[in-house]
Amino acid sequence: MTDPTDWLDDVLEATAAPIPDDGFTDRVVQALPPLRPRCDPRAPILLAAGLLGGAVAFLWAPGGRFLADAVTAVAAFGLHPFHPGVPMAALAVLAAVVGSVAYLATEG
Amino acid sequence: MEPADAVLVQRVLVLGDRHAFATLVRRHQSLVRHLLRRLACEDAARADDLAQETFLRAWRGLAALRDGGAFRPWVCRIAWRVFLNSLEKKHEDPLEEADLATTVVPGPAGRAALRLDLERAMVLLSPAERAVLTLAYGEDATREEIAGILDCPVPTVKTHVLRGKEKLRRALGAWADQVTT
Repeated sequence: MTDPTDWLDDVLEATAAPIPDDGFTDRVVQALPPLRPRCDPRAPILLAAGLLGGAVAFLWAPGGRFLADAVTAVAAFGLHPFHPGVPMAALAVLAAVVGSVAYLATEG
Repeated sequence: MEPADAVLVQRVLVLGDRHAFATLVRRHQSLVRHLLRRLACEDAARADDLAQETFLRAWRGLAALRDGGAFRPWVCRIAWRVFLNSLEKKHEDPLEEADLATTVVPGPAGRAALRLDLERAMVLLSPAERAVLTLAYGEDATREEIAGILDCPVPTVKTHVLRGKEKLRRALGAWADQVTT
């Protein structure tokens, strides 16, 4: 932006001397409030979306039938630990949670 | 060798490292205080209050800075906004050119007197013109950077440079011969 033939350019450049700190930085640092933790709205949104997506996918997929079977079995007091509805539901939720946590960890 | 701005910003964000932020302040205080002194018409005390407010806002809002390497223009943008906010609280009447008439006669004191007259002539400029000339000369900011700091188009920056220099040329015209000889 400087024109070598312009005396005003020389004057403007020459008068821009650095300002010594003189304790300014110390005053600023002493006045700093505690830093609030980062509040990134993407994290809870992503986690909730992952959980919801997992649940919806599970219910809409053929696996949802196991949930209905499980509810029926519970109602009939006939559910046992190896009923296919239990591990399928657990796997779907676990996959959504693990995926979300992994993504958040890489985002830092 | 001190770490780059981007590294220091990350340290502040991840570790809450106050020493890293102190390094950032020490590195950029001259630029911010120079800009604010020009904007505050060389009222050093007021300028330093505004500079402190600028760095406090930077500390609180650092998470919003996407590119840590762009700390310098980012903090200048905060300084500009802090200054504009202060104007809303304190209504300023710009000096008339006549107020300067007795100060522009070149004296024997040379550069020191010229510097003093330049600072006094700066009062005649609008805040945006003062900011543009301060950032463009000595601080070596590009027009694009200045446009980002002042949140205005690049052609407007060019207009501020031309108008600001024209006002200074008129106010300091008596110095022209001394400077060029």
